[in-house]
Amino acid sequence: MRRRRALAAGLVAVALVVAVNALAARSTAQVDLSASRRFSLTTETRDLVKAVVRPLRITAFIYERGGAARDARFLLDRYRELNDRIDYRLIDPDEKPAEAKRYAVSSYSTVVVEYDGRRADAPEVSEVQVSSAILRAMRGDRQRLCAITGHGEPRFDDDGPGGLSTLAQLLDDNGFEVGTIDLTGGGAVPEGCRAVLLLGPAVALAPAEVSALQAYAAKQGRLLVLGNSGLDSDADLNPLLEPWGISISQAIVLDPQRSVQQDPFGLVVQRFPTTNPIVRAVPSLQLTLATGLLAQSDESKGLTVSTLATTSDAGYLDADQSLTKTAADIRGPILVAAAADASRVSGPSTIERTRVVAVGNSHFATNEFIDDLGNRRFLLSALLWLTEQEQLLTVGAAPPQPRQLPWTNERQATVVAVAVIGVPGAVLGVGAAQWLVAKRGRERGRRRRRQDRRR
Amino acid sequence: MRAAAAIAARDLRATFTSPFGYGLVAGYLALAGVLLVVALSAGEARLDGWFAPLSLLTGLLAALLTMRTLAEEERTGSLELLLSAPVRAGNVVLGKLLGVTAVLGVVLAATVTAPLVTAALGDPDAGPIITGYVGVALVGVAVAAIGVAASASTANQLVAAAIAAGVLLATWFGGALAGGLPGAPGALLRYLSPSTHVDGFLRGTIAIADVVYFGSAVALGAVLASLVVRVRR
Repeated sequence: MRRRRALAAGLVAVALVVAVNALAARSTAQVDLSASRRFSLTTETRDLVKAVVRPLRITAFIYERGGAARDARFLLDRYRELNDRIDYRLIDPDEKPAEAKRYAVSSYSTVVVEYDGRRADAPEVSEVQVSSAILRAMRGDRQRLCAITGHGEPRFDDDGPGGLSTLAQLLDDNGFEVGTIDLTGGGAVPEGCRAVLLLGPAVALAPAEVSALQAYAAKQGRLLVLGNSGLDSDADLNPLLEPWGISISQAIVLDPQRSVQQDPFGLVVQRFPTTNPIVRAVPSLQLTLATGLLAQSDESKGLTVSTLATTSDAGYLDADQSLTKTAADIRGPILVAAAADASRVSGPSTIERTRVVAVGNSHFATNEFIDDLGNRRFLLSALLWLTEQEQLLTVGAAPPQPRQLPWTNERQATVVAVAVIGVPGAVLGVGAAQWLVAKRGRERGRRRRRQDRRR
Repeated sequence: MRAAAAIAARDLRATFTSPFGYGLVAGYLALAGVLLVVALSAGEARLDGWFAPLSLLTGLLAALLTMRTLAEEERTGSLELLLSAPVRAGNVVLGKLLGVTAVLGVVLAATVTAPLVTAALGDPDAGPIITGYVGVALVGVAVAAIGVAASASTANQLVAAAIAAGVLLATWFGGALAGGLPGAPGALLRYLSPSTHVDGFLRGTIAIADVVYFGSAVALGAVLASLVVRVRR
């Protein structure tokens, strides 16, 4: 009887546990103590994910064995929890190069979102980037980009080293449609251009072209200007850039501490002194034969200019063209990329906004260099920022901070000494001491008992 | 409750006055140290790669500690004395569980040198370290509850340990193997796995579903152990 009652009580307990867990499993409530609460999806993301009505696949190209992969898996699980139409997978580009090639992915931490036959890329597995890519893939509208031609610019249909066919593919993959416009014959920038690209003109623009572009920029225009030094170009882009707080030099930038494989003209840029989202996930840039910029904000006019990327302190602008550092040169850090954002009130409830991104180099966008370091990521982020898609969601999640701990022999010795030998040894020591004390106590007791018996 | 506390205090003392207790704890700490070296050798100041295997190790330690609880009492003949005392079965089980939990607490406190060393060498995120300890402790207590139930149902200590460790390992690796299994069976295996529920703690989150999972395991183990003790009385 007692056994039967116990069995019944046990079954009731099991049923209760199953019921409580079934209810709890539906809950997504959690306390997030991670830095910047990066594993808690915001309301905006939750609403977005609920709107996914067809299968959506997220493919993250990431080193599969690292901590970043574990974090990515955990974050993407949160998306899948909210909507089972969302599926994800992690692919290590080194282990599955064919898959990476199929997606035209060349760098780690790239995320590809596929939805309804459309694709959008994100540069990292963070909530803001993944959610923005989901939104872009779901929206599906294509942003028209107008590239200026007629001045010896590299071509989008050129698949040679100096061409832009890789950039064209990148833009196509991310919902942009690139067309060319020729303003040499006069006329204005056509309606419908979401942004205008001026990528490395070799010869000067005609005054009428400059005027047309100035007029376009002043009227909520979006400009991506990649200029070059006097070695590559005769074009003076200052009339176009100066109204937006940016001026561009003709001299070449050199940085002996950051040159590429002893090539003084190849420049590795690793300093991004700004919070602008364009460079948030860019680890470094590789520029070739770059020139320098100057940037000046003017808050009274609502103009904010971000210094996107600079050389190291050892870099300099080779003003006297001697290719060595002299007193006449301008000392570093030299600005090589800048972004201007000008907002102004144009009506009772209308705010006009102009955005300009300028880089003192166009070669980094060509097929030869676009896959070097973070060049591809920078270009995509710049265009997303220009077209105001950089943060489609007002997600407050900050990007994950790298917490590097280079593993040296000295560090290993410290950890082994403390954690493998020290602490367990101390516990054994305490145990041995206690055993000795107890043993002595027992011996003393025995001796006392013997003495008592003798008495 | 006072009776449960007295039983727990007695068991805690017994563990730390025996070479078995010290040997077990020292072995656990040495393995935890090796796991720390492996985790940090990835070149990042983060401890989720340490907490993940540590939670499994703590579960196995709990299984070894609980094997001595009621099974040992039965072997030495002191169980009869305990059960004939005016103490409720629930209090006996609670006391045994609290005793093992206290030992686990002492052991986990001794591992705090790992985050301290990591913080001295790098800049780890503090949140996941705090929640990581919560997760590891929950795994340990959940296995301890199952272990007490196993220990109550057999006089053989090794069988008791094997049951608790077997449940832990089967659910843990069952969840890992279910990774590629589609549909309800895969989802069920994943849900039953402690590794699924400890993952959030390692990243810095404390989810209601995970707390309920471990709480359920503790409650179920304690209730089943109480029922077995009551039947044997």
